[in-house]
Amino acid sequence: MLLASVVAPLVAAPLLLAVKDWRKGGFTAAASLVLAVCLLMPEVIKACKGFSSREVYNVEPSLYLITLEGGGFNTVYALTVLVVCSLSVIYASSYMRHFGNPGVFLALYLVASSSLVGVTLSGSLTTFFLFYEFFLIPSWLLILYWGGGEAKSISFKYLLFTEAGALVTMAGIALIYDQYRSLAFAELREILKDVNPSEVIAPISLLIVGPLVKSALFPLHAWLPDAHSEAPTPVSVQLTLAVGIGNWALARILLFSAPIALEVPPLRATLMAMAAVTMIYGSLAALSQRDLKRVLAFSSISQSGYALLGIASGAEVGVTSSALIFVAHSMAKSLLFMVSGCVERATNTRLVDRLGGLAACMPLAAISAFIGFLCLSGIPPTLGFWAELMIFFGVFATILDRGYFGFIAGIVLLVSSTLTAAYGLSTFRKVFYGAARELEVHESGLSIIQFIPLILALLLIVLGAYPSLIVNMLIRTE
Amino acid sequence: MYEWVNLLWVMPTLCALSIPLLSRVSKLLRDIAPALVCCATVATAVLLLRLPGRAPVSLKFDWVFLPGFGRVQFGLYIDTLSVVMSNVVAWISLVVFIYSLGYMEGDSSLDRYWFFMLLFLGGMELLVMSENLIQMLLGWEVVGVCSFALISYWYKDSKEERRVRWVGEPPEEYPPSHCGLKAFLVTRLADTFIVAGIITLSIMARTVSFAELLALDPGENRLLQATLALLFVGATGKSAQLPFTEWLPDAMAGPTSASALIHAATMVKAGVFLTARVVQIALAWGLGARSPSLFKFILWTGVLTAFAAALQAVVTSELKKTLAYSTMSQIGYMLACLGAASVTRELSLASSLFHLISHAIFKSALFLCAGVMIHTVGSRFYEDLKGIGRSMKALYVFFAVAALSLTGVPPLMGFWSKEAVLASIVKADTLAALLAIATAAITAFYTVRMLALTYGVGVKQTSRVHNSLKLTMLAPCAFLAAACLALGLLGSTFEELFYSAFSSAEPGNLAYTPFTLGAVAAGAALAALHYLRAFSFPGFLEPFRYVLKHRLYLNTAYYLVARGIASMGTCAGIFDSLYTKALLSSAAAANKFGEKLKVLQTGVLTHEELLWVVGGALILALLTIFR
Repeated sequence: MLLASVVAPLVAAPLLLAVKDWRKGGFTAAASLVLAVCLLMPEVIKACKGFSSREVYNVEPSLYLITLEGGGFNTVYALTVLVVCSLSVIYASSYMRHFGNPGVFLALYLVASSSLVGVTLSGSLTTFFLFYEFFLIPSWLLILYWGGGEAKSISFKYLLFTEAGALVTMAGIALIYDQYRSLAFAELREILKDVNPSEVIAPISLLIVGPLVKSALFPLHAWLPDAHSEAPTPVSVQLTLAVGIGNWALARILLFSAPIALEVPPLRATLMAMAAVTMIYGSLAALSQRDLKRVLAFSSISQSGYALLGIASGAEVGVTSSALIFVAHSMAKSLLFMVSGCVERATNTRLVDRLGGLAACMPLAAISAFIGFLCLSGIPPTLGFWAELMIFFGVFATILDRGYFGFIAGIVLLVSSTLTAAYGLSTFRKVFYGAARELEVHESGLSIIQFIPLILALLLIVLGAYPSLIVNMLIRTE
Repeated sequence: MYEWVNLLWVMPTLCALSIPLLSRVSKLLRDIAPALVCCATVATAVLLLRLPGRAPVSLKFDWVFLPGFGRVQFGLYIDTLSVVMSNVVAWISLVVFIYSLGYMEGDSSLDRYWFFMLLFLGGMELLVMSENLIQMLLGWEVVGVCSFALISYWYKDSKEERRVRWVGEPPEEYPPSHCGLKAFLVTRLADTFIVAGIITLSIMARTVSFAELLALDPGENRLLQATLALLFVGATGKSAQLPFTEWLPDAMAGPTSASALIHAATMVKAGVFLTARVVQIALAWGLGARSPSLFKFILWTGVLTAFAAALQAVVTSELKKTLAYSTMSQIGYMLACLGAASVTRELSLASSLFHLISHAIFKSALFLCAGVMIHTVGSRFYEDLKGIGRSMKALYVFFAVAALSLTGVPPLMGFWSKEAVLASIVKADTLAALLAIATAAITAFYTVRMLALTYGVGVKQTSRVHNSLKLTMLAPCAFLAAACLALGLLGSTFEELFYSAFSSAEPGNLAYTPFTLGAVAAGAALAALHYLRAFSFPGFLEPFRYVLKHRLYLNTAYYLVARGIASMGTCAGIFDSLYTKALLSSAAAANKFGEKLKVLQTGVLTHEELLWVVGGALILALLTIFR
């Protein structure tokens, strides 16, 4: 069944190539993604009961291809990816309608979505690597052909950065295979339990470079601001998910398979320092951006730092906190990207200084954006509150054993959470508050693209009010 | 059996969520429903008063299990403190909701107004009734969000309305949306201390529940004691105490009804509530006698804020700002009184709460009356409000009663509560008590000034009246003024009833009354003489006035910090673009290098052979060297 939910969107992709109409295509694509959600449901139910399933397809057994794994952690990620992608594809069908080639766009979009789901459900390093690389191709094409600005060089930069990271990761995979003759996450967990920490440090360090690039941690982040801001909005949404996938891999490797690696002080210190710098750097840079989508892009960088800090604290809460922040951040950021798309559509600009007073004419977008920014700043009753609380908890728990280094991380976390509120709400104020203005475009399509982010916003509130819906799936995987 | 208490926060929250629907059905229904729901909330809160008083009850429901953290429960903690707070919140909300019917009539986005007012009521009830710190934080942040939304309610920042809807004077004049943002960020900064406190408590004490914390034995754990200080610092943010003061005066940009409810009577008291809980825990841990530094910290924060805020109230040129500074000052009294708990124990808690109630009543009365005046005249400045008291006599009487209660004139309620607070402070620290009594004199001064300016002493012409007065606006003012008077006349009877709810506390005596009344009289007389033009202040006071007028330069410091952070942001942005460029140019350099290497690949056979020979020789040479 896991395979089915990965394949469902893939099957629909070739059918979509023939489609000439955004609306029909969008709904077909969404239907295939919803089907994938339905196919995932048995696994969700299993995960709630504390079971997980594992599917092995012997494409290349010696390389553990293809191994899929369910369980709470993976399922939460996969479900989030599918829900966000299916909403985003409906959004795209209305938002993109002035662009050409709906069929190709939607087909590529589905391929990309399916590979994201594949990553989140993968049960071995090679399966992960396969889907991870496979995502790169459609997303590169999507930015190249439908992106704005200097799409060619931006998409190429994105491709090169990610690919360079991926190659290092591949070297890590090779080393792991050479030393331990296994590539499955679960088997590695057993094998690596009793080895000497210094022995795994080299392969693990190589292994995490790719995910670190993908989750855009300072100083490996340079691809992200351009790619996120110049990609068409639905693709920005997908890239947000992909950034989160980087954190999935880090959590899977560092917390699930090789927790022993985090016991090596230099690695842990490097990761924590990277996380701390990224958080502050991302939010400071977000403060100074004039382009709405670039604010969001730098905010993604900063939020990646949060997730890494949760993981690197290595506390028992790391798994839960990284999954929670993935759900909270990817939903919030997706909705904010969607809102920025509405704003751009309505006013023909993304420059924050030129915007203002939109709350009066786009109330739904304003409400969603408000909730989205609250979620990013970790303010209840949104899910972001719980995510941030868990990260705080993990970091503070390490403060008490690890002295001043953890203390600095704690302070950074406090400062950064205030900075997040600062850039979030000041952007909100600049865009939506102020003297009312006339919209440049009046069209019925605006109502749909305002409505979709609102759904995500409401989901964030519901999950925030009753986080057990997600947390119950996660706690059983530990 | 106490599950019904949940109605306190459930009813307003549900009503808030249904506002968009109700407004589709009928506008009238939308405006009436909040008042009705608030009536029901008041009824629930009043029923709570009947609960057997002393033994606290805690109700718990499972909420979420966080790995490592433990089970977070959703619960209610019913003790004297929470019952009193929930009643204050419900009653004041009811009065303000009724007032809003008149005050906000005809506004174009009432859906938003009612949504946030109701959500505020729900959040505030949740905050005061919560059984543990995490749940309290939930309510705490919800009311913070409502405060942001209501301060920046008139988000269009239109310049034509700056005389009524903005706040401050140039260069420190701010539009509503700016003020909302400022309030939110300053309080959010303070909130991070609460988060840090909660997390540290949960790691070290393994619990965040009030009942369990009270029963805990901390031993000699200094860190555990420090967490209480963290919680207190967080509390000062919401209560606008030093150094987080500057957001509250600017919060006056919101509708006056919201200012009355949120920024005078209830939300800013959340800090007092949390501090009271902290003090309860500290007393239960026996910190009062062993390490009173926490109490000293609370005491001095309160006293200094009370003094500094009262001074600033003297020079402000806006009616609402006077009231805002006065709120800060009075909350300073409450905190100082709580800080005295190391000596006077439960008595301080009771006195502080007593002052909280009386302040909630008279300050909301003052705000509601001020709202009517500003609404009628269409300006927030004293210079435009001159003589308004003469043209609206009934209203002015209510205003004056509430103002005298603020000053502490017997037999009004403020007199009793202020005496109780001062009696506690005197027992704890003489120097602080002197400062507190001086503050009482300054309070009298600015109150009389406010009364004189609005009455228009020495002014012939009265202000122009723009809007007519409505009964829905006048009745709440009358009700609150009557409450000040009635509860004051009941005086010690009410006080004894109230104190008996706190186990061993007995009302303080009135031994220091002559001093305080003397100070009040002196302050009042000085102001009266000045505004009757019998005398003017000597010139050497002018520099002080200037500094006070510039908000003690604290506001300037705030903006310096904010600008510093913004310029750090600019630096980060510039660095990022340079960094990206450097990466790109290194890629370009690699490309160029490749171009250069191309020269070697000529395709001419002889060249290739030459390279082959040279390369081969090189390899052989290397092999022989490194063998």
